[in-house]
Amino acid sequence: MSLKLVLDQILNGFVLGSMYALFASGLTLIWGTMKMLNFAHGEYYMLGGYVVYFALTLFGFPPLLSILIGVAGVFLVGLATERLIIHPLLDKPGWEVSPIVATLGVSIFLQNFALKAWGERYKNVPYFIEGTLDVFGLRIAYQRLLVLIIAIIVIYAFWLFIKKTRFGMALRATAQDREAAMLIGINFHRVYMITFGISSALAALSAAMLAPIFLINPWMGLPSLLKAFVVAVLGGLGSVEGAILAGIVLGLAESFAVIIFSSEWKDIFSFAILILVLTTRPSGFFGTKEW
Amino acid sequence: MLELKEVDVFYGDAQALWEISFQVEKGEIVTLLGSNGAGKTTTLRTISGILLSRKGTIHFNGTRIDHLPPYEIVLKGVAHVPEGRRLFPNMTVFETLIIGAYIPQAWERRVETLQWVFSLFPILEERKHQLAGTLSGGEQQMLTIGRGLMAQPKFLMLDEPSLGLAPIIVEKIFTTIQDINRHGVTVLLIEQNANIALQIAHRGYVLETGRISLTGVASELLKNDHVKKAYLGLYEGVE
Repeated sequence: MSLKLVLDQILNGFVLGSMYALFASGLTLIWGTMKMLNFAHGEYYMLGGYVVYFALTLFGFPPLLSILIGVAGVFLVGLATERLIIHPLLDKPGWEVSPIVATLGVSIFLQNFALKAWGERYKNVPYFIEGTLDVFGLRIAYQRLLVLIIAIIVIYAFWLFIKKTRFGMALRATAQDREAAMLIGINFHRVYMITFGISSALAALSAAMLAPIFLINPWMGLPSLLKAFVVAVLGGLGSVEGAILAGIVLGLAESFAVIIFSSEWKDIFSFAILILVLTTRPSGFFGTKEW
Repeated sequence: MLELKEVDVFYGDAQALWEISFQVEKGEIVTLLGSNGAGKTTTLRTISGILLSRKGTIHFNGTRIDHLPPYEIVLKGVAHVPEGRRLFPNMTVFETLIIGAYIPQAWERRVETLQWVFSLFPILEERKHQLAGTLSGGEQQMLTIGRGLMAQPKFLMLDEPSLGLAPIIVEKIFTTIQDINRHGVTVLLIEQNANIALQIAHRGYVLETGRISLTGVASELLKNDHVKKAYLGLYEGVE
């Protein structure tokens, strides 16, 4: 195993991990705020991939604009899902299971919609930027660097938004005590809707960034969703910091699994880590909590 | 300023309030007394919109507010400081106060209001960066009141601010409630501790099993035999 290979895989680990972090942050955000699991999260990821693909290939928009369209479009789909499907279930008996059933329904619908509308053939998204950077004998594709840089910027902006802005604080207040939040004038229906939108937008962004590396297809959401559950649970459901840390850890672990064993072992590795961590720390790195 | 007319409230099929009527005038401190389960908290929760009344009306400054959601009632200038110090455990004292000014008209002036709250409760300024969940009981109560004030309410409702606190802290908090009132905020105070509540209140209502049983100015209620026996006596017995 050469040093070059190790460095290469560390970088890959960070690239993949940063996308896991983005994607799982959305899942954990919804759990932290609304105490529900969104089984359609993977389909927002899938939709994000398709929108970017069409924006790039069909309309010939530049990459940055295509990503923006993808993220904004899926943000709106997220808002609509909350208002039309989750909102009517809120505070009704059966809230423990009803969102699971409902979002599973959304997931099945979106998958089949994608299949019907866009076909079963896998779509190949071109790299946003060509070329490689050569440092210390390593050849790093600009595309991968771009993924990493955007992930860092977005994660930092997201963290600032949650911690410092008026709406971010209102979101945390609602997560921690909804009734007390209402008593200071916070409209939790609005908070929930926007939370759903942000969560979907994060899924779409990770898909947009990974689209040139993987392929777009109607079923791409499910494996990502499983991975996002691993990351979110590993970090502690509801903890955004946990999801970010766990995303990176998992990304690195998978990359090393690829060198030591082979790429088929990647998932076995990540689920083994999950089982191992849960037996010692049942509530993940940061513990299940409201942030 | 606030007027309730024949308000009935139910929990499912069980009636909790029977034809509650009372009013609070601008500038007053009015106390609502009663033992556990008399319906005091239910009354406050109905005014702030968390519970819905089945009958009757609630007016605030001439506009009808029953059946408005809580976050819209806050916009009208009503702040409800809930019982049991419902704080956001993972937010710092500073963050808790700042988010207390969430509504647009209060957000504009949050820095000034924060200075005022710190002058009322200097300990909160010292504890600024501590998490709300790590404060002592008295400090948590001060923070809950402070958070309510950050919305710059015209009308402040306090639910048992003395609950579980040492007498010296209770005295400090009640003196501050008077300061807040002198600052132009009308106060509706709910208390089991009738003795201290009647000392700062102008008027009082006694609530028994969901009905208003007695009303009067504070000094008269303090002398009233029934109040003495049922509330003041009980309190002294506990002491």
